[in-house]
Amino acid sequence: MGELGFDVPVLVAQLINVAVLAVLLYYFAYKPMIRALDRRSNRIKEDMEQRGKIGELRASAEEEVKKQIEDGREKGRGIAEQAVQSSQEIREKANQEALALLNEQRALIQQEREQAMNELRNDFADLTVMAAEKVIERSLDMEAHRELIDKVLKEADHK
Amino acid sequence: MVKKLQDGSVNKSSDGLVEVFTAIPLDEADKLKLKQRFINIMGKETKIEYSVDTSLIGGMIIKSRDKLIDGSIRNKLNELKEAMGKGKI
Repeated sequence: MGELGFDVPVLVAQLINVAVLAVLLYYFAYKPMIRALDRRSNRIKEDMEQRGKIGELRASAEEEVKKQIEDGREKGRGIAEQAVQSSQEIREKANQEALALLNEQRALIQQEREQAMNELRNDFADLTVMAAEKVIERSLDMEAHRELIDKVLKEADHK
Repeated sequence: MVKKLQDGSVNKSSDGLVEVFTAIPLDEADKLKLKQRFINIMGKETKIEYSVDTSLIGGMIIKSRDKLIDGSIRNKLNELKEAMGKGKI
């Protein structure tokens, strides 16, 4: 070995130095670095899992909100339809009542009109007959009375 | 009087009696003529009772047991008034 230029003790000492350096590097550099990388990797993994959960929660919340909005719309439509139906019923009822009242008033007016017409006809008949009575009374002389009596007798002939 | 005759409330004529109501009093000549006409109509002599009712205005009412002939002006006017009241005229 000496002939080859290697000094064995120096070589051994260097080998030992290298081995000690390797052990020291392994424990004080490589392992802490691996641990740090593992922690970093785990944290990233946890972050990603958490983000996934958050995403799921957000999607679930959005779904819930959509459902609630749809429910709200459905309820709103129901309430609106009910309101429209109620207003139609109220309008129809009001129309019917107004029509009934109108017919009642028309009948009442017609009745009062007929009553007034009857009264007017009766008054007019009374006045006409009264006037006719006066005229006839003045115009009837004895001869006219006899003619009327004769006429009645002729009627009696035929009965 | 006309009303009373129509509703029969003065229907007291006995058999063979004829009641005659006029608006003016009849003289004997009129009564004689009437009596003759009644004999012709009824075929026998009949007792006639004469009454004056000025409300008849004119004409005559003849009333026997089963017959009533109202030929008075009052009756005609009442018919006219009734027809006018019903709007028939």
